[in-house]
Amino acid sequence: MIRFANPGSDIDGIIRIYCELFEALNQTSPFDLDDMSLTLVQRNLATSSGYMGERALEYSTREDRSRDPLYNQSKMYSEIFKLLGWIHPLEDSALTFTFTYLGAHAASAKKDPKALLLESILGITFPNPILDSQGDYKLRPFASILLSIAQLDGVICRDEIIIGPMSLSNDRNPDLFKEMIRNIKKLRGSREALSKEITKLSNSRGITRTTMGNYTRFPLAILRWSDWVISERDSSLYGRSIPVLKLTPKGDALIKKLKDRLDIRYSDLTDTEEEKLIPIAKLAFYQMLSRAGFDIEPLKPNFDDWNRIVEEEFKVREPELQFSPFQDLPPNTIQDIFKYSPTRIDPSSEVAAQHIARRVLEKPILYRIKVVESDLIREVDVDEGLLEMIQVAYSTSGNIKGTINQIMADKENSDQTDFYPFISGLFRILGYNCEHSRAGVNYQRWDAIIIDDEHSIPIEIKSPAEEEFLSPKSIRQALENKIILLSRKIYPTSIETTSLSVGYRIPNERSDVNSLLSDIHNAYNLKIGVIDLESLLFLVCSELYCNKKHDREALITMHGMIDV
Amino acid sequence: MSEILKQLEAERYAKSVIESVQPISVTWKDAAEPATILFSDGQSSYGSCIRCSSPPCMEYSSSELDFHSFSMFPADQNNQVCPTSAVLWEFDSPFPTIDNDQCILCGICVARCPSRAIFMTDNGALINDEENSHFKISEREATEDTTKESASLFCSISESGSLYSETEDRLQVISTRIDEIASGQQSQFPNLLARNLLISTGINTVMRRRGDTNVRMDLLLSIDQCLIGPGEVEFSNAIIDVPRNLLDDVAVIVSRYGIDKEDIIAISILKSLPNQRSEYWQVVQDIRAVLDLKISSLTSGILFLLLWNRSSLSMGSLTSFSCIETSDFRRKLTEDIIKRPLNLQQGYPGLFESEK
Repeated sequence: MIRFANPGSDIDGIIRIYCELFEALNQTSPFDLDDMSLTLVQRNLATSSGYMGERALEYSTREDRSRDPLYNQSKMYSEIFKLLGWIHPLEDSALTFTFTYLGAHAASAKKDPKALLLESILGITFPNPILDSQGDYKLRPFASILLSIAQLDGVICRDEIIIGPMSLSNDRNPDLFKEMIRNIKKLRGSREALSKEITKLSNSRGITRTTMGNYTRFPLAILRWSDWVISERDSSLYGRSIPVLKLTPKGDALIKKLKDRLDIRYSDLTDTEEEKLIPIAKLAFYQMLSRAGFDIEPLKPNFDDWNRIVEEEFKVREPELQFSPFQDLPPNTIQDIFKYSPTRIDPSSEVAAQHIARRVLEKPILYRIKVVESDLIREVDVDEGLLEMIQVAYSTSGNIKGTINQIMADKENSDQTDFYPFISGLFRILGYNCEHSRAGVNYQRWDAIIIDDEHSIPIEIKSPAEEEFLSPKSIRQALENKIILLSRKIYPTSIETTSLSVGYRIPNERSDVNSLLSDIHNAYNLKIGVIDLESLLFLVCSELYCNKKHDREALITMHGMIDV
Repeated sequence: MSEILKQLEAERYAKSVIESVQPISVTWKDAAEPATILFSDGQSSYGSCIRCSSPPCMEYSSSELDFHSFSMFPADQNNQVCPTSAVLWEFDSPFPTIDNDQCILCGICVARCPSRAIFMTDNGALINDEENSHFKISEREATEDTTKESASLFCSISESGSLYSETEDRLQVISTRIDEIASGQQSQFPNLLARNLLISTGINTVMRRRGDTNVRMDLLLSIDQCLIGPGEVEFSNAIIDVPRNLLDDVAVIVSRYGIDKEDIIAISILKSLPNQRSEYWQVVQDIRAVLDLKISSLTSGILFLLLWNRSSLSMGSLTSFSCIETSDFRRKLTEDIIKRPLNLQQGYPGLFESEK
């Protein structure tokens, strides 16, 4: 399956970002991903970890660049712009770029930027000498997708695109194309059969289904944005209503035009002599600009010569070429043909000097809860079944670590009905009078509550079936729970008392949750404690098997992620 | 070195008001007819398209989207006026047109036309390009200067009547169109509609970029360069998420950008108000009681009505929409702003009053 980077589905936004980058970096080209990130944050076009402006850069930049959100965002954009032929990588540095002659036109197309983007979209081919290897595919992907839709009665769904045109090994082989269409038609009517095909592809390519879906996001967004298709729901293909793309009259008209064009690719030209390659590239490029609404009148005197050479080479009359030289020829070759190079100044003196990457390490707000030796006096009833379950795990493993691991594994797929009482049961073992809310009791917004004469604590619980890692949403809900309890006074509590968010695992995007916890405390002076199941089980097991009680006062006023 | 070629532009001849007359006043009819303009020669004509070089019915200028009170906000720079892209200007057409299949009858383009050439019909807005005794096609191409010159004539003329009169049936049609057309729109549609409606009512508004997961607030509002606060737009059933999302938005603004919580009003823009027993109202009250944070709840319908009656919101009126004491205050407030009673039955579903 061919892969497309996914910088987002807002195509107008992608064009705007390109124009801003061109304006900022064209004079200081070549540029790298850090230059792009700096431009994006300086022009308020990117954010990171909830921060805006230059603070976004500060909070994004990491020692490990693969985990640096802004760097990754810039990389996604660069991959798309490279795919469109608007930027080219330098020969000796794949992540340093220059703007191309085509890219300069894209940035100048203020009246109708859509037209040249769509030409560039149709210009994408695999393989080509600009992009990294995309496997063994010989494809003009967007033309293939459109032709497939036409042959599939004008309608296609996402999964069919995945197993069909995006996985077609050679779209110039009519037998392979027909076979692909036949296979899809055969699958229609059976969701199971389609799902099986997707799984087969996923296994053979070693890509998860989710990732395959992600690779379709950019092409789907383009197809919709172009008005070549419209999104609808359809239940006729697979028995139940699913989102599909339907070919529009505009898409249909484009297919007819594509069929009349001479499709040329890099592989057709590898042995072509320079004196022929130049007119082919120029004719193709200026025809492309003309279709995108550019005034090519100044070049018209050359057209007769170029046409004659192309006619001789390909034996066609008055050819309209479907070939985008900036997307299909090696950067050095294309530069020699068009003699276009952006202004270059010493990259170390201008932009590069501005972006001193501030690498900061994430510092999660951790909240230490100690356990100390103490005789166990529990004043609340506990669920005997739960105690027994923990005891069985302890007997089997013989130690606390093994007990925790076993229960964690048992609860891996636990849903709300199982997990909420389980969590409240664990708090009861810890000596808290904890009750979980019954389903459907809307006025009790919390999922469980520790009832106390002074320090009642609402608990927002997320079962692993809902989310494996606690999210910012659970923190927001914990905040709301606290406000509701303070306002409605259903149980006594105080401003200083925490509100808990309990889930299977600590948030994986720690910086987002950290920022939110800190913002909530700064803005409202309220405390939110975040507890994962493993830590909660550690407190419980310490109490049950080591006679060690946790610091109750610390838990009641905790703010941040638990650290035991 | 190769030169950069230019994209072709259509030759479009401007239309302008004939020399020696000035427009004096505009009268809006109910619907299906362009506004009538009274000129200084004592005669009246329909408003007609002056074929602006950067048509305000299609795009906002960059200054309209500037947000000086919080300039670092990473706003979506989408300058599209029509939230469904129904206003089009085909390359070979001398004037813009409106695709009525996509028109949701919001009236935003109507209110922005300097020469009052756009008018509402029950099937969608239309642009009148007919020449008449006061509007003539010029021999000059439309430029920024010719547009500015022609548009300036209409800047401060008096107006009477509504762009579109409110009826239960019309509001129902709009609601249905929003539901039908929105399903084919990008996910940013509700935010774009809310942003553009707020701009039309005098509130400087920016929206977050689509897909920017780091900025969670849908909108940020200001008036007279003074920050009002964040806005959340919810057209689906997830209304209960709105108050907690606003809490998050306010926390970010207060904690990271040093703005006083007391100076902020959080704005919730809903398609229709939740029913009276909804937890939404209770949580809004809880937040007010515990944090002294005001949440103003408006509907898109209220914004339509303000726009159709060419009325503006002020900081005071926005604050008033946070009232929680009486059930009919939204109706009264809207009537105060548009300076006339509404022609809608009490209890019209979810527009001013919550259903029981």
